[in-house]
Parts: sequence; C-alpha cells; structure tokens
Amino acid sequence: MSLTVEQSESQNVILLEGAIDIASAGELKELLLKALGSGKKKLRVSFDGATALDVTAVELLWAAEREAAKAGVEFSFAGQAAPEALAALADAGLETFLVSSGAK
Amino acid sequence: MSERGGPLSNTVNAEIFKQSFREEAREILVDLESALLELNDNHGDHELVGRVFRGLHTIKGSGAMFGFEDLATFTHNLETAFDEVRNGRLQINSELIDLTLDALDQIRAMLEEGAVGAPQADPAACAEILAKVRHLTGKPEKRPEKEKSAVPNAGSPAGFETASGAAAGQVREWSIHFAPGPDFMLNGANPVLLLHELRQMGGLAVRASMAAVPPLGELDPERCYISWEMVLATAAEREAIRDVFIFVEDNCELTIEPASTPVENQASALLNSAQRPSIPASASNSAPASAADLTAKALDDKRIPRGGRRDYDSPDNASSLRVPAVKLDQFVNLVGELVTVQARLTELVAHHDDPEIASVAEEIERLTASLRENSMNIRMMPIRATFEKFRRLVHDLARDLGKNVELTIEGAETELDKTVIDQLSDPLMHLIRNSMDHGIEPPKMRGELGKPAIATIHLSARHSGASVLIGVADNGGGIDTEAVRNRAIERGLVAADAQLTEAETYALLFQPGFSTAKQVTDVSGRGVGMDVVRQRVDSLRGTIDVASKPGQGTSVTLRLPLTLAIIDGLLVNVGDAFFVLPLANILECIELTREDIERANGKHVANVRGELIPYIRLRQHFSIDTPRPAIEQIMVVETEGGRYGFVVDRVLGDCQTVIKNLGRFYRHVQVVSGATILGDGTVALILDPERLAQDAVRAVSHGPRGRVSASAIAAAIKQSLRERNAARPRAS
Repeated sequence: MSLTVEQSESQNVILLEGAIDIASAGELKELLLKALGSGKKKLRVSFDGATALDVTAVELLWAAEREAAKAGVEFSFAGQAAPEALAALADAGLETFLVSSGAK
Repeated sequence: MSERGGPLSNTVNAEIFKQSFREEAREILVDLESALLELNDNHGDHELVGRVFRGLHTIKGSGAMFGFEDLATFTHNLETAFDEVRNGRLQINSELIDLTLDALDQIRAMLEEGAVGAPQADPAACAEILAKVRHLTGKPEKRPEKEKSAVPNAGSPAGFETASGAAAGQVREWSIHFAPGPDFMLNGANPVLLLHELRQMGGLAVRASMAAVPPLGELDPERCYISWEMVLATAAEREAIRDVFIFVEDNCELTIEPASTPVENQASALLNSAQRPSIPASASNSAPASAADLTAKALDDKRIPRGGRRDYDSPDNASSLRVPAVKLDQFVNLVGELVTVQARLTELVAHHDDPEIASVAEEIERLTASLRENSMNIRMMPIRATFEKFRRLVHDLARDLGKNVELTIEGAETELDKTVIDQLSDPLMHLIRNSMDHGIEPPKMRGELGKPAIATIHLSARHSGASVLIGVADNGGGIDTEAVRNRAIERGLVAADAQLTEAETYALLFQPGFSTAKQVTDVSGRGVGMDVVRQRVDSLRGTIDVASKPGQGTSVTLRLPLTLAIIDGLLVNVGDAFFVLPLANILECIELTREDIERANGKHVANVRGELIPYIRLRQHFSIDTPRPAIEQIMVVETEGGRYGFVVDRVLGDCQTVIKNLGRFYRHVQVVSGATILGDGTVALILDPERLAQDAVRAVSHGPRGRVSASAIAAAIKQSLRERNAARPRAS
C-alpha cells in the first residue's frame, strides 16, 4: 500500500497504489482533508496501481467528493484500478461510487 | 512529492486478524471433533449434522476472508458433503465421519502452517481425503467463490442466475438487508467478501446505500457506514443464506425475508437490468442517481418490517470478548503490583494518626481486594474444551488398539486458572494413553472375565477447597503391584527385601523411564509419559493420588491449585531475608533451642513427639551471614519424600501473596518458585518445599551444589522491578 500526493500550482493528485484498505484508511482521510483544505481548486485521485479497494476507501472517497463539491473544489477520479479490485467492488454494488465520467 | 505509510501496518493488521481467526478456528475444530464423535454414535441426529455443517462453513468463510485459500477450498468440499447430508441426499456413515476427522487434522496443520514444531499439512493425504469424499457424494471438486458469473442469467427464473448447488430446489427471491455494525471492519470482517459469497448462491441484485456516511471530517475511517439492500434468487433456504453471515451475525443488522411483494419483484427486475451510470465529473451533494437508487427508493418506501433486527445498544451484543492471554497476564501483574502498593499504604497509615487518611486507605484496601478477586476470576475458565478434545484421542486409540472404549466426562464446567488448564493437556494425554494401552483389557479378555464389552475411561473435575481435583479413571485390569515391585527391584530403585506401602509402590510408576510394559508400542511403554505427568503436576504445585483395584480398574487424581497467581503462605524471616512457605505444605511450627541442638549432638534432626524429623537451615542454604537467635523456629512441612523441618529465625504471620516470576537469571533456582513484594517494598522469596527437601537430601549424598544467596536474588528482583516501573509510561 502506498499513498502519494503530487502537488502542482493548481491541483493535488493523490496516487493510490497497492491495497487501499482499513490499514491505510486513517492516512487516506488525512491526505484528503489536507488536500481539500490546501486552497487548490482541483483534487484528483488516481487509481492506477491500486490492486484492491475496500469499503473504507470507497466511503472516504465518496465523502471527499461531497466535501469538494461544497468547497467548490473540482474533484475527479483518474486511472484504472486492477480488474479484480473493480470486480470485487461491482459485486458489492460499489463501483458506481468511484467512477467519474470525465476521468475515463 | 512525499510518500507516506508503508506495507508494515498493513502486514501487522493482517497478521492480527489471521491470529484471531486461528484462535477461533481452533475452538471450532475442537467442537467439530466432539460433534463428529457424537454423530458417530447417533447417525440420525440432524442437530449434530447442522452443527458440523456450520462449523465447516465458518472455517471456510473466515478462512477465505483471512487469506487461508487452500484451507477454504479444502473445507469447502467437506462442507458440500455435509450440506448433502443436511438435505437428505447423503446418508451419514462411519466412513464419512472418519474421513472428516482426518480432514480436521489437515485443516489444523494448514492453520498452524509455518509455526515452529507444528505438523505440516500433507497435500497427498488431502487429495486422498477429497477423492474419497467426492466418491461418497458423487460430486466433482468444488472451489469456493471462483465460478460465479458477474452477470445475472436472463434465462433463469426472475432473470437471475441460479447457484449450481441450488438448482434442484424451487428458486425463490429473498429480500436481504445487511448493515455492518461499528466494529465490523476492526474485527477483520469484510462485507464485500460476504456479498461475493452470497452471489454463489444464486442471482443477486445489490444496492449499496451511502445514506449513513457522515461528512469527511466526522468520518471514522475504520468503520463501515455503508449498508446493503439485496434481492437474492436462490433455491437455498433462509438458514443457508443466514449461514453466510454466521460469523458476523452479532456485529451487524441482518434481515432475510421472502421478497413476495410485487414492488420487490419489480425492484429485482429493475436491478437486474440496471446499467450502472457514471457519476458526473462535477460531483453534487446527492448520491449518484441510478436505476439502482430508484429501485432502492421503492424498496425503502415499501420495506417490510425488519423482524429480528439487532440493536447495538442491547447488552447481549457484547456478552463476551476475546482478549489475548498476554494482555490478561499484564492486567493481573498490574493488579498484583497494586496489591503490593496498597499493602505499603496500609503499613504507612498505621504509623500516622490521621483518621481521614486511614479511612481512605481502608476504602482502597477494600477496592483492591475486590479488584484482585475479580481479576483472578477473569482468568478462570471451564475445563470443557480440554476434556472434549480427548474424545478424539480415545476414538483414535480405540481404533488403533482394537479396543472398545467409551470416554465419559463429568464436571466439564469446573473452572480453573487458564495457566493451569494450558498445562493440563500433556499430563491428561499421557494418563489416558496409559489407561488405553495398559489398563483396558482387549475385548476378548474382557469377555472371558465377564466384564462389559465396552470399557470406560472417566474424566472428571471438581472443586475441593482452594484446589481442583482432576480424575482419570478406567475400569480396566488395575495396576499389577507385584510387576511394579519386581521391575523396581530389577532397576535397583528399591531393595529386594523392601517393604513398600501401596502408595510407595504406585509412586514408582512416576519415576523417569519406569515401565512394566513388556513391549514398547506406538502408544506407550517407554516409561516417559508418567514421568512427564509428575513433572508437570509438580510445576503446577499439585499432587498425584493413585488408587487401583486388581481387575476393577485404576483411578488417578490430580490435586491442583485453582490459580497460580496467588498463594496462601506463612511469612518467615532469617536475618534480613524474608521467605514465604506455602501454607498447604506446613504441618506445624516448633521451637529449636540451643539445648535441643546439643541433645542431638549437632545432627540436624529434631525430636517431635518421638518422631525424628531432619531439618534444613535456611540460613545455611541461602548463605545468610547473620548471627542465630537463641531460640529458632522449625517449620515442619509435608513433602512427597516425607516430613522435613525448615529452620527460620521468626514466624511473622500468614499472608496471601501475588506471585512474581524470578526472571531469567534465577529461573534455574528451583528451590524458589517465585517472589513477592511485601508492604514495605521488601522482596520475599516463595520457597518450594518439595524441591528444597530434595536439594538438601541430594546435598547430603552428593555434596552441595553452588549455593544461591537469598540477598542476591532479592536484590536482582528489586532492581528488575525498579527498571520495569521506570519503563512504564506514566499518565501526565
């Protein structure tokens, strides 16, 4: 599992790699809050390299998306998680919460 | 760019969950063995079949969840067999029971994989077991959670796919509401895997609800707020669906109802055909609008009442907790130290005339006593699990030895300290093996003797004062005292003309390497087992009592202390050294004057009402360099080797003390079984009278071993306690 933040002048990009699950949930929340409070107008979350996503990751990202909308931050998902991760989320009816039309 | 976190916490968490699963699975395996053995005696008991099925199902489900893939796959095939039995498609028979028992051994080995000294699972044996199970069930090998189709099959009833194993029955639709509880994720459970398992049972339409997810700032990142509404089309019964949730049922809201209303049928059709849309790039405050959500709204509007809904606030949800034994030990240690500090407080208060402080000190004393009693109770657990696992041993040995033996159990609810229970398995195993091999006669001989064809081994437990009595009794041939005596003479353990009492003869059985067996078998006969029994019981500060009647059987009773953490003792001193002697060993206390010493001509023997009792000077034994008082005290103690006296300066009174380990430097000092801290902070050494007497006798015949200094041990213990206290974080 690794969570990395890439910063540019206008946006933050959080890169999710490996298994993003309860073990990394606290850290992910911190990164999301920090990015949303940074004053930058765009926040992008990239799934490239994510091999698994559990429900804690889904609800954190979903809550962050709502928080971004309130704060006027453009929030988007990018990249593609591993097929197994997407299949598992689809089984649980969760994949719709992690797809944004502009990202794919 | 910054990288944070790493794989370590992930790995540590995974290992914690795996460990938790192992502990749970070990308990389930014990219960499974017990159920299978009962089933062996009663093939028609449906409740037992259900118990076996549920046990296998839990091991499979939890195993898959925690990464024990091989174990899950292996167990899945056994579960299938018992599902067939449950549904009346397969008859239970001894072959299936024996195969399943063998399979449990393999599962146990898979569980402990990688542990030092643990048996390894045998892939060839596993394959053979599965082949035989498949032969019995007539079903091909099944792998869990691998063959499901993600897309519902439009050709099946109501547009759902049907589970491969469920096609035979009537397919029905079930409406399922599932909401994980607050600790669900922290306990290592994963809702996604449960839903995955549900899909195996048939066509499943799922709608996840984010309604309970709080704003990001208030969100507990380790909690699952998502809940699910589902419609499952399956031929499986409600109980089978509930079984998917069997190991999380106490930590979730779960309702399973027949989806019979038109709205729900419409909902399932809608869900089935739903094309999941993407959420807009510019996210809104509302949840994504999808056909699934429309369906969910219809479901919410028309929801049938949730019968059996779980209330997280109700006390029965947390009726028990699984706590690692090491945490419990730390807790008891801390309580022990509190007891010590409280004793110091009481002593200090006695020197100050302040009624207010005295009143507070009394209150603390009362609370501390209550806390100590409660903490000791936490460690107490019933001996049932230890007893039950011997059913399997008796079953297997009876089969191997060609004997008919029934194990009966009495007093399984008797509670004793976990530490004692943990150390009981070995001695009980050796006693049972011994009874099975040497005690119980072969069936033919039993028939000739007119004894019942089925022999009995009776395991029992009961409280007796501050001790617990554990009994292993058989109705076999009894101990041949003449053979024991002859063997002892052969080995030079007793003189040829020695007059031995029954107790002395039986005590010979526990000598290292002693065996009367003419033949060494796989089961016993090497003379190792009974020696292990004696050593283990000694280390538990227990005693062994043997009774035997020729032709009628043998009974071995182990008397063990209820707890190893606290001891009732008598506090004595020699110079500036303090000792505690266990009250259980003490017979009486007599004075030793200089005249007495002169009368004995300098020999270390006291005349107690005509009986000559040898005594040991603790001053000499522990190298204490202080002058002797004019009148000393002899503590007369009873040991297995007879009565001995321990000479001390003064007897200070009785005490109930919390035992502390000596630490690694003094672990080899066997005459001292532990230490305790007195009210003023002084260390007192707890003596082991048996070992002390043996050591003294040995010193007479072989010369003294290197003496240990009581003050050196006490100083080392004090230093260790100071370091431990300094290392402990203090509340600011």
